[in-house]
Amino acid sequence: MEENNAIRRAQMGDQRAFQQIVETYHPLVWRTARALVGDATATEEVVQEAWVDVWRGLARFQLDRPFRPWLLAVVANRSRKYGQRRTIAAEPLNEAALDEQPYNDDGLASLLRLEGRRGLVLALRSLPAEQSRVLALRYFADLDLAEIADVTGAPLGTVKSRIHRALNALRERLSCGSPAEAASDASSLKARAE
Amino acid sequence: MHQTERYDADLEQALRQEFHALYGDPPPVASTWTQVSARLAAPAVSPIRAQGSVLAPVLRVPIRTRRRLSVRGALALGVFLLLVTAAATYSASQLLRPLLTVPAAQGRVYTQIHQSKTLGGVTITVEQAVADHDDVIIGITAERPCAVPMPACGIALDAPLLTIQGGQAAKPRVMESDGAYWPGKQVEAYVLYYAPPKLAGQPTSLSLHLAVRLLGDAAPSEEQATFDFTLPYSARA
Repeated sequence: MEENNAIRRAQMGDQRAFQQIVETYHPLVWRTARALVGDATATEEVVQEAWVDVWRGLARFQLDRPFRPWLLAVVANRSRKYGQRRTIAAEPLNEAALDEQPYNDDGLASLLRLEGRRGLVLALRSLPAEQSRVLALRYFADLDLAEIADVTGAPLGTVKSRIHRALNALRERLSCGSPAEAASDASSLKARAE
Repeated sequence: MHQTERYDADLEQALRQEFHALYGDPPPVASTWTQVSARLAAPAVSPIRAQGSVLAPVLRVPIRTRRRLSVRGALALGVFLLLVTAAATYSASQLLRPLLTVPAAQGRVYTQIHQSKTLGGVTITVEQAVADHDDVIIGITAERPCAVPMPACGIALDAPLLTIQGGQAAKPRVMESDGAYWPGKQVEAYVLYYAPPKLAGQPTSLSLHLAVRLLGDAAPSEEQATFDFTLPYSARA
């Protein structure tokens, strides 16, 4: 209800109301654009342009519909336009950053965590772009599968299969063929954050 | 929990952590809002009430006495007339020109088209175009009358579809755009880059068909404006 009030006021030109909307959805918009654009420096530009698109298109938004899917579609459109204007260069793998120890420094456990992280990063890099993109949308932007289908323009079944194939590929690449070892690898990755 | 299920949960958690490490956190919203608010077209304006003239918000000035009214009113009217006159001299092609100075678009001999159609209150004009062995480049503009800048003024075009010599319709490879609110109207300019045609023989001209749709909410509208024109064509590098 409060969100609808803010949207209604923003539709009438109230910038303070629009600011409330921006503040509420900023993390979602930024993470989604970051996952779609794949370019750190361009993400902020895309985010700003997307919000301007939202401002311009808000008058056409119908209040009886949910706002979040409409917003994500605007972000996806703007990200797509950016992608059409640029050749997205793959971000170089920062080997030096992987050699740092950003986590706590307790010897062997830390080394295991670091090796696990390196393995996961390399495994992610080896995935096809479409698979890594849906993973980023799922596990970084926290979109549900239907939302991922909407922003990528792919059918829901395709999204599901991409995620399934991507996770299978990661499991395969991380493990040495043993489910126990694979579980150990994944657990060591989780442990580093705790 | 079954070992595989635990592994999946661990892997998913690791993915979340890793993407967070790779992509980082969003910047503070305050910095984004500073940039966004500077780009928004309008300060907050009151909705136009029934019976109100569309000119009324523009002429609203703080007025205290009839004597000041005549001086301030005259000043306001003068400024308004100046703006209206200026608006009449603004041309959307002024937005288009800088987009065509980029290296990819420079140094070509464009054919002036100047075909206009109206779609959903927006006047869309195919201004100029060129076709050669590298690209088909089309410059278009869009204008919507808007007395005061408001969200409703916004124009959003879907990627126009181009058909060359009756072939398959294609979306642009690249779409550069710029937009601005000028007194009385919202204007947008687009430069569209399409892949060059694959044709048998060496035609000296191409017939093109361009279909333009507005983006409604988050999906393209059904209605479209179509343009048909011919361009000289040079296939040689």
